[in-house]
Amino acid sequence: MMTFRRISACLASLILISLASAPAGAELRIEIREGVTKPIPVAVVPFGWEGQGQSPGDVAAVVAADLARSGRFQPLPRRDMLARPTTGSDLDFDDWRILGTEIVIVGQVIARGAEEFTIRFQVFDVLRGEQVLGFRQPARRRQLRAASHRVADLIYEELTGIRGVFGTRVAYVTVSGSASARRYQLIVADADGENARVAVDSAAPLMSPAWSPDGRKLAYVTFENNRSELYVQSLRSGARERVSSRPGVNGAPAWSPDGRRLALTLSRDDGNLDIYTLDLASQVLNRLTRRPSIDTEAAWSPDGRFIYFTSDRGGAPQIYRIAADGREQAERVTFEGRYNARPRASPDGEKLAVVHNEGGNYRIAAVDLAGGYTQVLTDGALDESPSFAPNGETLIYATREKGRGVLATVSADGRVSQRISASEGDVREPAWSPFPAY
Amino acid sequence: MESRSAVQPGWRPVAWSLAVHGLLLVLLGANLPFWGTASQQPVRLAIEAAVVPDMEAVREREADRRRREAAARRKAEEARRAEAQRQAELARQREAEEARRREAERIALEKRRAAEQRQREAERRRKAEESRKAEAARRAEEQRQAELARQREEQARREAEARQRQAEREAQLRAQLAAEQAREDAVNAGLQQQWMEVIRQHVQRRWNVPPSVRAGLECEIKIVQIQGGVVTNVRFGLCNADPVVKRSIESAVYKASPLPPPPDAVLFDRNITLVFKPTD
Repeated sequence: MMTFRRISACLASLILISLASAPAGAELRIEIREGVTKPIPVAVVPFGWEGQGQSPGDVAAVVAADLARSGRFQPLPRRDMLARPTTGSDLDFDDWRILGTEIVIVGQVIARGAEEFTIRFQVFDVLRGEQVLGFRQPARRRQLRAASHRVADLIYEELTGIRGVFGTRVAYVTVSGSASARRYQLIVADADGENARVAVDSAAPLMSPAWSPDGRKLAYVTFENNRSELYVQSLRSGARERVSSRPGVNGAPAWSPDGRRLALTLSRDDGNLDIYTLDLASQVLNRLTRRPSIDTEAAWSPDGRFIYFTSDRGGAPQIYRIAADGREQAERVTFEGRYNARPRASPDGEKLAVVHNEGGNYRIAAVDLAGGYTQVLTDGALDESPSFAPNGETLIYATREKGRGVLATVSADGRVSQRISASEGDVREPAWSPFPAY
Repeated sequence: MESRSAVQPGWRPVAWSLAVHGLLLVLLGANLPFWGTASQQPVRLAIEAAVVPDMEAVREREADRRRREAAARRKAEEARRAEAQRQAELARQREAEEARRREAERIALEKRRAAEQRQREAERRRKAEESRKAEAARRAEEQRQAELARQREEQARREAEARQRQAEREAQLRAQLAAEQAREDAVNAGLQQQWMEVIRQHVQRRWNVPPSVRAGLECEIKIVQIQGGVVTNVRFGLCNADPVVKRSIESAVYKASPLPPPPDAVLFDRNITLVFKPTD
């Protein structure tokens, strides 16, 4: 009895002592409070070619350029690549780990006929050492670029969770020529600037291009007949239709999300600029505003229920909102800054892009409609005409550089911005197309 | 014994019988004045004629009869008497039998009672004996226990004293150790905080935040590392991130491997949990 008690007492004290001297071994918890937004290092390895003669196009180059332009990826220059695999079985992850590449894209263009091809590609995660995506994309020779953009869209969506816009287009107006012989053109180009086509060519001003929701038509304002008139033009055929040529001003066309109506600005008899909606099938005109103030620059909400517009009824230009059938009173939605104009609703309906005057500079800002918070996205002096990409991630707008009008893009959170290399002349009034109908 | 008077044969009944017959003859013979007159004359003749002949025979027959009756009566009487005696005898015998039986029973009962009495006595004595023994044993046991208890107390007292001294020594030692430990812990805590900060920066620089990240992101990821900081195992805990953000977090951890080592090797911990919780 005695010995047992003594032994257990000794053991107990030993244990106590050893516990007291152990390090604080509870689980370590470390909070990560922020990260970086750097472009992800990717490598788009030149695709292999399986067919006769020359490859119909450099798919990898288009994909790499698209990913780079999004601002979220940084493609590895080809000269830095240590290997050029075209399939996963050729791929050795060590070749890419050394370079710090995180994503490797490999592929092949395979001939199926004289004009038919298959683009086969695989996306690999170098850190995990596994494939992330694999696809076969059919393509015709003349649409190889479009197919390459589709490949870039698929990769972008997989890696970011956001739908890609590499297959979209942009419409814009260019002004060239001398003061006495001006030339106005309405241009439609791929989102990367390629394949620029002239949709309208005029000696008189062209303005306010607006895409129909199906991406097939453009509405615009032209002064060809020495007054403002509204036209709708089919892009494929070039055929166009005059939809409003009323006395006074006909301007600022905006398509309803279902494509059946146009909101527009008319002055008509009383010379007062007001918002109207026009049903294209029935030609019924519905007046929404009646104030003596200037009400113009209509833009629809994505659900088609409201129209946002610029009005100076309060003194200085601010953005207002009215029910699309005009039955309710207009209410103001911008409260920060003394000048907010030219609204465009984001595709999710939660934000407005506006031209916002701050300290004398006209800049593009995003207004959060729920909280009213305004975030200035650009830093020019005369930035205007913002237009959302259909995935809501990027805005295209017009700015000035070295005395010329140029286009630029900025990410919707303001972090990434790019200049779009301009051709000659003055570029203005960009409008981003909807998603292509694949 | 029956009364003799009832059955004694003798001259008395004969006398009476004679007397009655005689009277009867007198009356019949005498023509008493107080009875009737002329009509009774014929009757008297008949009767006298009937009675006068053979008085002797009658008396003999009568005496015979009486003798026979008496004899019969005597016999009957004797028979009765004998019977009665016999019965009485039987009765006496039965009584005697009965008496003997009762006596025997009584004696037997007496014996039994006596025997039981003796048994009870014996029992009582035995019990008394036992209880005396038990009592004695109990007392002996009590004494023994008391003795043991005294010994144990003594023991306990000695041991308590020993422990007391031991405890005092140990307390002193522990106090010394604790003081040393506290100093070391303070240093370690500071160093550990430092190490955690290094890891935080290290991971933050490598986490490429995707555009789809939402406010309120809170994502746990549990890391197992080996000496040298190489990450060998990664597992998500509670996490409300979408798949793209989750992948970005996983990539951040892979890029962060090997993790920076602690300033003091003793701080090394295999298990680290990172909680991605942007304060944006």
